[in-house]
Amino acid sequence: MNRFFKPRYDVVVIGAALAGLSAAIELRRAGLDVLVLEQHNLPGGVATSYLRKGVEIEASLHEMCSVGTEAHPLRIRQYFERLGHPVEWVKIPYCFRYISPNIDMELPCGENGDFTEPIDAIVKAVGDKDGTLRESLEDFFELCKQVQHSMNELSVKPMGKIKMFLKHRPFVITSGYTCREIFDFFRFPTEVEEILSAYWVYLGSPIADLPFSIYAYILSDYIGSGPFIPKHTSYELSAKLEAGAKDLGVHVEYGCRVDKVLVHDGKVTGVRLASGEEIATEQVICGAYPNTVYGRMIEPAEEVPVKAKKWVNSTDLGVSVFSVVLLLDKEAQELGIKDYATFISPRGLASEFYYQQGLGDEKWDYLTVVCPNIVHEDASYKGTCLYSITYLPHGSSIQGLSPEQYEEYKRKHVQQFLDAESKRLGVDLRSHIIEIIVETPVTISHYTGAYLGTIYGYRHTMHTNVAARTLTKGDDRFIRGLYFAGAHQLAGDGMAPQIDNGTAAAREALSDRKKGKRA
Amino acid sequence: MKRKLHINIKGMANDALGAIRAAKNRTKKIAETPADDIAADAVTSLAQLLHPGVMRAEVKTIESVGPSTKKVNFFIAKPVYFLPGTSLTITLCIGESIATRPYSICSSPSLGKQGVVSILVKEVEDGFVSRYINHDLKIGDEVVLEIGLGNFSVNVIRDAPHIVAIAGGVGIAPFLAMAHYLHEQENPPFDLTILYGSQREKDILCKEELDGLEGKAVRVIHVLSDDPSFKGEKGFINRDIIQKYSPEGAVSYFLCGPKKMEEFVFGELKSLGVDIRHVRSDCHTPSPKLEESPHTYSLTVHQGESVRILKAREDETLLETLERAGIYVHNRCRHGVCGACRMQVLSGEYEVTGDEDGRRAIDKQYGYVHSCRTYPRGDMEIRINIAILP
Repeated sequence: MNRFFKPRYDVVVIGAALAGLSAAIELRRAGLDVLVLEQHNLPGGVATSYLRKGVEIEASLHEMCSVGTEAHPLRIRQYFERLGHPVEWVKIPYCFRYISPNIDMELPCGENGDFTEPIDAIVKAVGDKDGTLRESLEDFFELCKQVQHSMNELSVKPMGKIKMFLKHRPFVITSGYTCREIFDFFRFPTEVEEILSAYWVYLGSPIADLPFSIYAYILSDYIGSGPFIPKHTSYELSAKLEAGAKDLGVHVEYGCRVDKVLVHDGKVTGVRLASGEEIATEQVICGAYPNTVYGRMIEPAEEVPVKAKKWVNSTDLGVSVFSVVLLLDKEAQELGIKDYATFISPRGLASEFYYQQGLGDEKWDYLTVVCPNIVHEDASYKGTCLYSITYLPHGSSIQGLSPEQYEEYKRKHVQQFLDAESKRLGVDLRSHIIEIIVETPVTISHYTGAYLGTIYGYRHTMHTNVAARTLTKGDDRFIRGLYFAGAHQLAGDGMAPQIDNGTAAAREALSDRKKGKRA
Repeated sequence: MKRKLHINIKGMANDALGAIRAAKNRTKKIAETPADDIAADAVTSLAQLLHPGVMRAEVKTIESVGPSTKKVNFFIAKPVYFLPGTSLTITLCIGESIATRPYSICSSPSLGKQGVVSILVKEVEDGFVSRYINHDLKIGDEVVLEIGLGNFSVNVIRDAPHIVAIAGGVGIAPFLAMAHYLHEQENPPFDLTILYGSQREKDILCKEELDGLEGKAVRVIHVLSDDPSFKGEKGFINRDIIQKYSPEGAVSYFLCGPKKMEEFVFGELKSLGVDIRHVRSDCHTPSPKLEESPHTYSLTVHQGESVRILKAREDETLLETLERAGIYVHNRCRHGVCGACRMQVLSGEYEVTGDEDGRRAIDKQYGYVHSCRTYPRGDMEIRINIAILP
């Protein structure tokens, strides 16, 4: 009967997205027999693309960090080079344009960790009569940079608390604080706070709840060396990871949904596919959210410990996405579109307000818009351009809708977004649409199975803070042989961190095998 | 050199113990959280309701609706949701083969909520599946269906408020669904004028049903090419007829029928100066005719750990070869676009043909093909997904 699979694998990875594939690569490099099972017929999860009218359209990625230039490569560029499948990177010439009633500016990128250019631009835009702004910005970016360095170092080299305090002082002394508390310390003018914080709405928390550490890390990484995109959309990352994994001898199977993780006496014994087939293994790495795994995948359900339920119930989910993607019948310039990424905030900085909006179904009023043709002229065919308008609602904001209400919800919000952007650009976007695609939490759930269609892992709050999670490492391990790899893990959301999350899960599994052998 | 920082947020003791404080709060928060059952995922439930995937259905009725054309009604044991203009795929086991085909749904979405969907199937020469459906399929037979393929429904934001549909033969199916839908609406979201081309009056499919749907939002004009005694419009659906029945203002044109009709109508629309943005088509080039004595190649098929060697004809796609051998491959559009039948070529020469190569750029580089439009041009070795019929 079992002719497609071997009866047993060393490790089964559920999900061939970036984290799952990175985990498989790490495990295979250690010589293990690894099977990756993916329900969809493609690798990548949300790191994917689709074609409409012959145009390949990015499904999710706006910008990516940790790439670096050829001269100063950072870890993601290096990772794909080592894998033997280098990615064709396109550099975004500046970070983003920010528009609010208070300020409208393009924030330039730094270079190789030097922040002179972005600081100059902020000072120029806001003004600095007594010279104190420049100095605080210099201190602020330096602090973020040192936090980033510490987090990079500590992620591969854990150390005791005292040594950590001495060697990584700026990281340690800011890790118990929110962004709000650190901003208050620096006493930035409102416009500066806006520029420094609005873009990070995708982290899903208002500034008053957002841990400074994760914010500082992303800010330093992003502004310090600038964003990139893969030339052939984020699907290029997925396809190249998959190719690298297959080169190494990882088995990857598509169209295979895992329904159950089989557990006996607190230990993983295998998985069961939707087809009914069972595969034996002692280690499973899940891309699925712990909410899904502990909520409905563990068999028998009695093997889910009370502590696991408490752990899951204590988390808040991050945000999902509502995106309107347009193929327009004019080139960007003809429509007055000049920027690659624009963050529009018609009411100024109100992260608390954005967050509240994301939970409900009312009118939304901040948007991120992206036009890939600005940085990559072949993004669509001549005489056209792609344009996406995105808001980040919480997946729970649409739960309970009937199919008819869902259609109405989509139509209503698409209309709102098109009206808002048409007004801003002074162009009737509706009269230029060749193709329109709407992505919602339901779309994400349909293609990836992500819990509530969430794409950004768990919401970053002080109790899910990197520092708190690092110091309580292992407090989320309830079943032996069960590991997680995805945006819900320590390195958090975004595409680059998934390679870290996957690699970390694999290392944990490998370390347990070693311990098991010794015992 | 590291810049020296003088950071003192809330006093040294507070600052130094921040991480430990956060960790303690975390442990406390988890301990205090109730161990209730983890909430079910309502978004995924909605996604599954809208996209139920491949499922079993029963043939409810089969009726003749014109020369060698049947309307087949299926019953699915749960509600299905789709927009008018959507297609389904049907998968049948015929002899040793498994065969999947896409058909436009011709029934109303409101019937779908009761689990009922219908398609029109015209028997075509050498049509393996259309012949089977017209002659061998019986009431009560079980088939496998997948609802919700395609991009041929009206989008009120993208399209004009008035749709002129141009249909030939069984190409009337998606417009029948749209007409039913509009007929049922209190406030129809768009107007629909159907220009329906047939040869003679007796060739018009579902004539009574169609004419019965005429009303405030739906108008039906029959155009007969081969019936001199007909009282209505005669000839082909040309620019004069299109212009005569297109209302003032913005119009979107939807085309469904034979490829030859599409080519002709495209030309006529172009000569009328219609913006290509307002033309949408669901006409596809049929598969080439089979050769008398085709070349055959060896096709090595890897599926998980299993390996099989098949004979592949040069005039059949990789997908057809696999289906002929009784190997189920999940597939949907069968014209190279949707990518459901994507598979990896490990070695060998092949040719990709058809109206549109819907592959991603990197898939082309890495030797992935959409097997429904890929022909072998030498011995090949491929890897296909593991798929099991429900």
